[in-house]
Amino acid sequence: MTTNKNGKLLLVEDDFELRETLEEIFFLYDIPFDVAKSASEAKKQVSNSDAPYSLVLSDYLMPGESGLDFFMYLKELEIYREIPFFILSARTEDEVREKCRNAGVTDFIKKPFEMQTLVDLIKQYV
Amino acid sequence: MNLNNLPNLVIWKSDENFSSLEFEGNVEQLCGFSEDQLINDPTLWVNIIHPDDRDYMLNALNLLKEGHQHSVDVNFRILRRAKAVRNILGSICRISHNGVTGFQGYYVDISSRNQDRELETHKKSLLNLLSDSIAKSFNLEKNRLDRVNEVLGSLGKITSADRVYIFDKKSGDNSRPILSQNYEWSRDGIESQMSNDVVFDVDLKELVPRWYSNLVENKSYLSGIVRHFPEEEREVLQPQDIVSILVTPIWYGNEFFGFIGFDDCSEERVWNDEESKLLTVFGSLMIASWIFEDSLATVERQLNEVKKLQSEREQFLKMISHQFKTPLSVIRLNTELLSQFSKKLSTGDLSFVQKKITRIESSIRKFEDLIEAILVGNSSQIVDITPEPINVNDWFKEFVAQKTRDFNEIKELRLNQNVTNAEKVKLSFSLKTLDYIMDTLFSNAVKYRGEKGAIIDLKYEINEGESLDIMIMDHGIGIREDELPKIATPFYRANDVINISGTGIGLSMVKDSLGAVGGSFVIESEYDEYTTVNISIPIEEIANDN
Repeated sequence: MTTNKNGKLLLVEDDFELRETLEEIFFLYDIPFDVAKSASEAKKQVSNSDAPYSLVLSDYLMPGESGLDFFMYLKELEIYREIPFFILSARTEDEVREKCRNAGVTDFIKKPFEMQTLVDLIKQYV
Repeated sequence: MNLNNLPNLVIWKSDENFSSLEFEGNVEQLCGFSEDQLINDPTLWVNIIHPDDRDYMLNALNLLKEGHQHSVDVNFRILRRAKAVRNILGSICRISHNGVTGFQGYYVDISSRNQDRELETHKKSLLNLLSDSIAKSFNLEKNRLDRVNEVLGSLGKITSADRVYIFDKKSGDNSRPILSQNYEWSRDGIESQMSNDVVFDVDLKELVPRWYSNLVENKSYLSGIVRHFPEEEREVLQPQDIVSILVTPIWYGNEFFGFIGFDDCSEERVWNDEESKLLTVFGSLMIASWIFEDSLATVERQLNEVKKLQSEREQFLKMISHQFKTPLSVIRLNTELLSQFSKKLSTGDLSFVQKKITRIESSIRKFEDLIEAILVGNSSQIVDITPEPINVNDWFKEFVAQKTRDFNEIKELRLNQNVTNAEKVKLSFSLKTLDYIMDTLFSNAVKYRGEKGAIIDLKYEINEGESLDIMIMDHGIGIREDELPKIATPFYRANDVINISGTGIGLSMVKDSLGAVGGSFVIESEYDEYTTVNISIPIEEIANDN
């Protein structure tokens, strides 16, 4: 399965500064990636991509559809069934976490997070 | 003595056959027949005795005739014309004078005494009814209409009125009240007036100015026989078959609320003053129950509004706090990037930049703490009442070690304990909650250390296996006496500490957390000397395993 993936990370984040910062970090650590500003933009990226992404990092609360909505969309696609999907979120209340866990999201990354922690995590997949 | 001045007393004398009668006193007033009528008709005196009492009287006379007794006391009834019953008390004796035998006696009409007794009984039952009705009026579990109808029914029964009703003020003020009849009880067979247009939107001053003057201007009741009322009042009352009426005003403070009316549709009854006054007082008491009820409802409504506002505010704060986290992430990540980049700098520049970066990082941490404090501002989120076992000594050992590491400001930390080594207890809440409470109290002790530096006494003990009692005492700035009671209210911060960072949530959270498990929180302080916090955490279970 892994051989079929495109080896890239897909970042879905609506906040401009955080997106730019994460992009810089990915450059710095040679992590191949694409970015989307919203769930709907991410869907387009997914359908335009020849092979499935190796990893998705998505914000939870975004204008329009949420990170969880995007995850639910991906889950329906055969090739994304096993995708590692991490939610970046400031909302760490039990109920939000529970909802995402039940849906099958891989894990939560709690904002604010440390750079090294994030990079280590990504390196496991990309 | 002129016996005519004692209208209820008659002395009489007779021969054995009652054929010659003599009277002293006003016999006509006593029995309704004149002396002449009684003398001319020797059977009349028997006929006026109440039929049920005739045998009793004959027996009394026989006792005397047969010489068994010299005198007998009697208590009997006589029937006057128009069937009015009088109660008579008297005494009869056998006399013998100049060879003639006969009877002599006196009779006293005691009917009015009985009337007094009846009136007493009536008053008593009226008072009972009123107290019962007041209780019913204040029984707020029932709705107002049911309550009022029940009370009006009781009033109707005790006063023997045919209708009892309330006109309450719909609009206008004391100078021009507009009233409507909104509650009514009517006796079976008496027509209700609830569908009569005349009882709605009554402009009292316009329609019945005399009533307005009595009820509103004089704050007094009004009663009488409708036949004697002015024509414009008769026109209103007689079509409702009202023969006599009592209306008592309802006042609450300086506000005229309306009146309670009592109709009699059959008798020309005269209401006595006492009764009328009592019923007047009653009306105001009933209204007091309405006002009480309305005030309760208002308070409840306002309380709900406040709760809603508070919850909205909490939600808003929470939302904002979450929003903080994204820019905070950006600051943190960029600081880290800067830190990495700075390694390329020359040694001199590096140390300068690293210092700045360290400062930014510690500010980020403070900021994160503040946000956490806001997010746990809702106690239900921090209090986790899942009981968890701890080894008390181990826990405190670790706590002290950690605090000594974390706070360079600590000058002296003295630990005093009296717990056997392997004692393990199950606290009534989770370790997370214990951590939260102790962190808050300890960091307060450090934060408010004052110029002397942080000298902290920490003491714990297990109180009869019931609770874990902990004392944290600092020798810092203390709390002023007037601020002490407020110190554990949410968001309260003492005036002296505005320059020390803090949110005002800590102690209130600690207090709430302890309250949630039935623990206690006591704070004592001497300004500029010390602050001591004593907490007690209930223990679920105690286990000594080695």
